[in-house]
Amino acid sequence: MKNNKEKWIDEVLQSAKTINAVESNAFLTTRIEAKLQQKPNANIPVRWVYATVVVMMIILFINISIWRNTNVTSNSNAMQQLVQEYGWTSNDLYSNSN
Amino acid sequence: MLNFQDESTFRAFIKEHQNMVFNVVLKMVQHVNDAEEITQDVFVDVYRKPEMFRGNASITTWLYRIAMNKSIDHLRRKKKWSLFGPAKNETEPLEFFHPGVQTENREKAVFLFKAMKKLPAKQYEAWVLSEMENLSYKEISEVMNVSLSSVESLIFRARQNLRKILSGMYPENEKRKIENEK
Repeated sequence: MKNNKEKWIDEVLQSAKTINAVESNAFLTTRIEAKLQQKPNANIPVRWVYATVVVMMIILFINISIWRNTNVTSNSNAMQQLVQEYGWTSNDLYSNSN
Repeated sequence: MLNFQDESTFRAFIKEHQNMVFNVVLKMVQHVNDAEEITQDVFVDVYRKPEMFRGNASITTWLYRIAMNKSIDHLRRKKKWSLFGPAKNETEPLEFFHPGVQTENREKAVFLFKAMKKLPAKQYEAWVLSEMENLSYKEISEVMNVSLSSVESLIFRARQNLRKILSGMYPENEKRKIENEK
């Protein structure tokens, strides 16, 4: 035997069958014709917008990573070159080697 | 293939099918103004792309398919908008009073529509087509482009989920009535 709650749920679900059809707006045809007069919207699906943003962020991230690595590498290379050219093999710049 | 030779043919087509389209969209989106907009969009699509109707299903099935797809897209856009900012219709009432519901069933129908909103899209679609539009499983499978067994499974799961959701919505005053009787 069903309890009151189950009976209530059954009645709610059954109410789906009792919904009568309603008349649509009398001016529907006029509005459709008005919409057809307008130029069609270039509706870009939202998914494509998100995908483009994600791809651009990835490209930007890759560019930034490459730029940072290049800067660090080129700075250290330049430093090594300078050291070699001037023969600065020790840290003591002020020593009197003469 | 559909061919609208002149305006009067298209107007007759709209007149023949507008109520069917509007009613199914209204049950899906639960908002009269939105349903009217979407119904217009359905017929605009039909007029602009009649070649999309390939004749392998009835015109009604095809219209149902366009109407359901546009309704689902609309519901998804609404949800996304509310993630990033205020909901599109801030003044939209939380409860939906379908104009076609008889007075004695109004309260229960409100609970039903509230519960339906919590279903996954496919189950929602199958439920509306089956229980509210009274389409056969075969017709639903054609509209949704899924197998018959998928339709059965979707409707079964929709019913189960609705029972679970409604169980949590059981009104307090009913509970109190029972406690008082005890």
